[in-house]
Amino acid sequence: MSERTVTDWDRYALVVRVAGILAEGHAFGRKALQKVFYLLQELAGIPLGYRYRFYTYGVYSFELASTLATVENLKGVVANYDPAFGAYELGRGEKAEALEAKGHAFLAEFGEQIDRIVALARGKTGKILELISTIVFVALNEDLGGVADEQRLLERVAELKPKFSTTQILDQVQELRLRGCLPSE
Amino acid sequence: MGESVKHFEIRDPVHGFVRYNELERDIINHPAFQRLRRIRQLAFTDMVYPGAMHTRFEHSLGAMHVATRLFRTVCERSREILESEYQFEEAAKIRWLQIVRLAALLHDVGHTPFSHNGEDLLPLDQKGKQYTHEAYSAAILRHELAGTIENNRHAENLGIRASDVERVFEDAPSTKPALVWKAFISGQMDADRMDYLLRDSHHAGVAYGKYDLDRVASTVEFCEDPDTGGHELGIGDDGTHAVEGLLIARYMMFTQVYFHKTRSIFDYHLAQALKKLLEPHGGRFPPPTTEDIRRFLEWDDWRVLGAVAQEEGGEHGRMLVDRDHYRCVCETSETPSEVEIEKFESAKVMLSTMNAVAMTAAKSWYQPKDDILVMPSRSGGDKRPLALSSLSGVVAGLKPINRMRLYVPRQSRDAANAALREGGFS
Repeated sequence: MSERTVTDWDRYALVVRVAGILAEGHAFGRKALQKVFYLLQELAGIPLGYRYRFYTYGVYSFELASTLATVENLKGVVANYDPAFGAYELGRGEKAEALEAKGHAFLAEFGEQIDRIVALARGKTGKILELISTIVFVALNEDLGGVADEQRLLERVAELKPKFSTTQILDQVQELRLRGCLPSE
Repeated sequence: MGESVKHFEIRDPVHGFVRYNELERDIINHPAFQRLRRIRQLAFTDMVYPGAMHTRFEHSLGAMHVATRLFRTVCERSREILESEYQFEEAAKIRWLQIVRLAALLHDVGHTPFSHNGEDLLPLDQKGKQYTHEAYSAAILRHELAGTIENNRHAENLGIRASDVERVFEDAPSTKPALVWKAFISGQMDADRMDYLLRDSHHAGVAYGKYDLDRVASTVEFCEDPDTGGHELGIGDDGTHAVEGLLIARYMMFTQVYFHKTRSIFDYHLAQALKKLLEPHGGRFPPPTTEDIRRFLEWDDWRVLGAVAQEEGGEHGRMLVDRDHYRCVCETSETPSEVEIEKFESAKVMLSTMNAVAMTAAKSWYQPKDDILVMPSRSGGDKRPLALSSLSGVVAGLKPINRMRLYVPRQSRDAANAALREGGFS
């Protein structure tokens, strides 16, 4: 992992980049952004420095919520309430380009990791992103006798996310393994 | 079961009588909890608001009281969700109420001296992440208080173990019911914040933190977040205006008290003095391990103040004693633009030779942009919750506070102001 110091400008640029891409053609909300940033930090190893806690609605960082609010205020992203979606949808703001430029070196340095997580998250709903981040959270934080112990992983995720069927959980576990995000055995 | 549990009452300046039972009394009387009488809630806020001398002890009792109110309301108003989604049966209610009360009572037992100010001096864990005060609360519960809980007949009758309580305030996922009740201790709208706003406001002698707790506490319920499908603690639409008041209170308390210009620089002086005091101890507080947790518990405000009085806190310790704080020479607006932030950063570089210190509101634990979900009226058709900011122009208008300030030693104030004028910064 890089020892690089990540600045606030870098974090703002990353918010703009990620929200800009993932909001294209899909409803992408604030909570969904939380899950993607969790994957960027914990799975891709980008040293963003956010503290995540786990709630019934999945992983959440209050510090990231503050960063996002700042980026909205700086017009790097816009958040429009969509009554049909029932939540705020993020999109690129009028200052998106300028903010991205401020974190240009950072975005370039971690480009590969960003692309990998964006590819994983692209087109997925907030609900599925919550499931994926929960799988990763459990795999990284709990002693399951090795994350390759699939049965225990599935049971634990099913316990925490009772709304999802075993098939849905298994599908996401398999995709994570295929993408090399979880050990395959 | 069936045995009567003895209850006691204690007077609280915010809530009136706070009731507690024998189990809770045993915990309150434990030295690890009594230590909270020697941990101030708001550090050196009394340098600006002299009344703000209250401690984590009374806040912890208050948080337990508020958590109880929230628990009872949610059990009533969200019964369906609790039963269908979390298989929470009626019979489990007494047990979980006790667990939630203990979690609220103990959530702050791991604070460093003067609360948040020492957190940057906590050591790193095995993964290289800094320990949090919640990790210390969990360790104190595990190593010091488990016996008090598990040897108590009431806890035994309810089948409560110390680990049940720990799971409610730990960061990592735990049991499903613990996750549900965690929202009361650490969430967007929790008992902790609901208590400290009123309490801090009361002791500071300001009206900014006051809101209608009775209404909020009687209208909370679980709402399904449309974004992720998860449940979070929200409010029924009959509590909409009361919760608007809560958010405005947070906003006002932040701008007027927590991030007050003079108050916040004392956080810096205190942190520097603590750093100096910890130098002979390896520069960090002891870790929350079995071997070291008692050494951590020996650290409280009294020890720090005693050492500072003995001139062991260095120059910043002296500044605390003499109220000789750094002076603010430059600040941005509350919601600075990109240009303002850049200008501030340039000023910071320019004044670096004068030992300038930057304080930024965004780094505070306060989160101004939290939204609250509102459940539409039960009699209405659509049962989907809505974001409060989509219903309330007042809440939608609350901008994130990102003010930044630069401070220099008192002796450098005139030179700094002159340099800022010359550089076109003021």
